[in-house]
Amino acid sequence: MKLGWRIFFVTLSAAAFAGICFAPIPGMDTAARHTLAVFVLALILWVSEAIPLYIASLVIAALLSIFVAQHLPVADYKIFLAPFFSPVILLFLGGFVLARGLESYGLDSVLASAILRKVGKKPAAILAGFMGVTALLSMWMSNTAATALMIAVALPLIRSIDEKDPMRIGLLLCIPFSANLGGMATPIGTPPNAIAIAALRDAGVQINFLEWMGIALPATLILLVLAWILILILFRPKTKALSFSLHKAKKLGWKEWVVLTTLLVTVLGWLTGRFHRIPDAIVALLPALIFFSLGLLRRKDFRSLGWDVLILMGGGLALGKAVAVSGLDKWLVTSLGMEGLPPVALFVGFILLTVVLTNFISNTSSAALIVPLTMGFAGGSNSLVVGVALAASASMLLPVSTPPNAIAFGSGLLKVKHMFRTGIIVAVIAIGVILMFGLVIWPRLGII
Amino acid sequence: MSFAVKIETCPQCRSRKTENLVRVEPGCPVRVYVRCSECGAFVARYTLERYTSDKPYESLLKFSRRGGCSIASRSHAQELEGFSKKIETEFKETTEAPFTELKVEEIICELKR
Repeated sequence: MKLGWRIFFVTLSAAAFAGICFAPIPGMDTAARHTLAVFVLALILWVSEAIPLYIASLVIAALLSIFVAQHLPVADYKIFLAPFFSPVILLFLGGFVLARGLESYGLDSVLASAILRKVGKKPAAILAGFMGVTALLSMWMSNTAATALMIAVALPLIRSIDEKDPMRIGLLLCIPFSANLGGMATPIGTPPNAIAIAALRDAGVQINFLEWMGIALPATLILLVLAWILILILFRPKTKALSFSLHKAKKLGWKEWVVLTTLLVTVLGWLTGRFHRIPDAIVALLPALIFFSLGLLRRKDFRSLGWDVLILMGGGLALGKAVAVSGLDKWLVTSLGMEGLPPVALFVGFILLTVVLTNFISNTSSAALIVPLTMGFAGGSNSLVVGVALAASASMLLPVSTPPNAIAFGSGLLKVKHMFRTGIIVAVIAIGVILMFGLVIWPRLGII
Repeated sequence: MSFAVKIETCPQCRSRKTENLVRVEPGCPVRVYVRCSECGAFVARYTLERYTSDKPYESLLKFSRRGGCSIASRSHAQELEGFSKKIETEFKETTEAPFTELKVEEIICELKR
């Protein structure tokens, strides 16, 4: 973005902030009004990306501390700084360390190759294999890293397929889509999940690692299967059999075994939280303790973890906190007349809004903006909050929607129309599946 | 001047024939030692922020795996999208630019002023 546009958006956000701060809004107290001002500023900065997203997060924290905290019943600015080191941030940090360990010792490739060796030669099976492995990896590591790895594995195969065979496009498209969908399944899969968990926790609803997987994994699996069928229909393979070579199985040394064991113990710790009562965020410290103490990862690795993501999430969580404690959420619900709307209409509206937004701005920013708004209704529907988090991962339409899409597009083998046509159907399917789970299945099973 | 291009010259024999020796060491940034092909003298050392090969897309995949682009932001995605094209364009621009006779240190000083 050119400097002129940056200055324009920063000025616009500052003007909007000042305007709302000083404008008398009937029925709205000062804390809520100032929070609304910060919210609008965040909206402009996150949508325009005039300054880096994580810097916008720091601006949000600063403005909330200065302008909102003093008008709260218990005036303490620290409530807006605490989210930057909240349990979900720690959980994510643990996930980053785990992913760095897997990547540094090539275990992500080992895992991918081990599974892909079993899929055989049929194009449909190979497609399923790539989708399954990508989704599995993106559950535990960043969607971007999972996509980069799997495209590197798939490229030789893709290049070996006849140029006129639609399978080339199908195979390339299935990877970013699976990474986006796979991220939905675990709390550490993608930041929107953590934002939803933190918002629900603040509202007194505790969702641990296993519970999130119980809620989101079935929806993810259904979406993956439907996306697989769709890609097979749209890009029907012409070849009957494909063969591809993978790197020889790497012999694991003691360091690799330590990383693998740590992964297993950590995941087991997350899944069994109900029995041992150690919070997920504390379990997440284990990989960092082991990898850095034993010298498996170094300071350089620590410094290059996704701190920008954590800061961005922290800003989102702080904003969510402010919306709740200032009463802005309740004000929006009552003053915009949304109280009388049927829950189904609200659910559909919020999910549609999220899917549209997430295709144009960062999925973390989308969740950070929309989740706090849904909290006004949270008493009636916690599934709405989870639904919004899942919908934030439906960034399927454009190369710029999310880095996994951009990576696939960067191969030069895809055209925007391929991604858009397929992505819009996947996004519509995702909306349908999220609505089905959010309105029917989760409430009936009583799991949220 | 927005950018300048200089062909490395050996300080000893003035030859323009040089070799790049790429040094990769765990825990350190990649360093390139430039040696004169004629007399073997040390010409320069570069410390790399990121290495990109003649296959920029493969370089991008390696960079992305290390979490080099972790935020799902539009600007980041656009950057990824234009990665190969940018390198191609810059390479063409660099090879077509007139070469300067200034020392690299002088160019750096001038451009940073």
